[in-house]
Amino acid sequence: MLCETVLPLLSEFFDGVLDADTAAQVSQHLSQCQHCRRELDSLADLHNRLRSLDRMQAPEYLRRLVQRRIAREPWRARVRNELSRYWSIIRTTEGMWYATRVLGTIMAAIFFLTISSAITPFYLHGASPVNTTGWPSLRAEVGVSVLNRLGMTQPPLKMAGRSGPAAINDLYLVEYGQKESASREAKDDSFSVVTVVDRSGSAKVQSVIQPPSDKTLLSDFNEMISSARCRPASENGQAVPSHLVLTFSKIFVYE
Amino acid sequence: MYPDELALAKQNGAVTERSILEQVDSGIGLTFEELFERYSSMVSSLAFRILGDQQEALDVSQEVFLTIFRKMDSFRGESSLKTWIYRIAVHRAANRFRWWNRLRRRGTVSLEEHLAKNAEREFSGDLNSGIQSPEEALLQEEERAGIERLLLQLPVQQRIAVVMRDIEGLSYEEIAESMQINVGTVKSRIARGRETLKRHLKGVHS
Repeated sequence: MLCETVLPLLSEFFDGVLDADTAAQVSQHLSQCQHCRRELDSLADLHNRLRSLDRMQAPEYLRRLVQRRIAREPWRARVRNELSRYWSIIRTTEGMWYATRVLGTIMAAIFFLTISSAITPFYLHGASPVNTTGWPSLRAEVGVSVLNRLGMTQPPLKMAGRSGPAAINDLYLVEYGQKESASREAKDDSFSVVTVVDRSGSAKVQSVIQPPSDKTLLSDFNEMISSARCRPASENGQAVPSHLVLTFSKIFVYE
Repeated sequence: MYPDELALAKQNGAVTERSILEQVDSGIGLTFEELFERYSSMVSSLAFRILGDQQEALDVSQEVFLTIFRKMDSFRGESSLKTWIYRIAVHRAANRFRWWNRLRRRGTVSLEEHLAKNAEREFSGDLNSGIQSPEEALLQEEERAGIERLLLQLPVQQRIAVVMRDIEGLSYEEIAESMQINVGTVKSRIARGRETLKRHLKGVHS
């Protein structure tokens, strides 16, 4: 080894932190090189001088100063320290640490179960609170369902009155539209009538709101409606008389 | 302490220091006294060697113990208590030194001037013990003052490394942990610091 290589290693050699091989090479070089030996000696001398410097002893009043400053800690720091202390007790006491972990796990499980139950799709919970169809309304229903499950909305009020309107059997209406008399004249026409349906389901025209140009249309309709059997309207499960407002249009189609 | 931490601490023989802190953690004032008793001189001494001023060192020591009090809960026994305290002390003292340097750059005050005015030694009570004559005592005092001056001329990071190694007697690994640098950097800082001191000492003697 050359002096240029050894000199930068002397500090580590002096402290004994060089690996065995390098230390052996440095040691061998030192046994032959007086200059490097002198450098090592001056390093040892420096170390001894530094080592012999006095160590400062902390004066007694330092303890009082520290205690006074701790006592003057702002209340936020004191609260933080108290919380830290309690957490430290939990963390350092094996039983309490496991108990806290178990408690935390249970609380987390309850939380996630609540959330999971709240966001379950509405159709798994029975009847939908919103009686509409189509995807946009389905999305709205999911939202309403979630809010209902979380107890954030009032359940929708049920209609306390009518459960269904009066209706005429479609078959009669189709037959009426196909009647010979209804297409006698090749001209557009229309009329509106108010029809009364009684509890038994029989219907009759009560008044004409807009009469047709072709009067036979109205007489044909009168004939049809008197022979038709209507489904009566119901209220609280009981059939009740009701009114139907009907509008018919005859549209001429060119062949 | 977690059970695995406890096992590790027992294995490393670090349980004595850790258990003291646990008692401090539990809020027993007497144990803070014990902690202070054990480490106050170590902290003050290191701060004094870094800053070169007794009052500054005591001020930093206060801050260090206040920080220890505040951060006791964050100490997890990953390093030894001694290294942890050294780390706080080094950090605080280096910060204070940088603060002085900023003032000096602004032209407000020089640390050297401040030290010249204020550096009074109150802890060399046993200097005369074992010294044969007043001349020898004076010579030794001059030598000591000389080496202290040279030490204060070192760049602060080199000074911290040299002080921790040659005065406090810490291992390279402990220094690395306290300064939060790697061992290679510690080696080079110590070597360069010693080299500078050696060169200056030769200059003084020649």
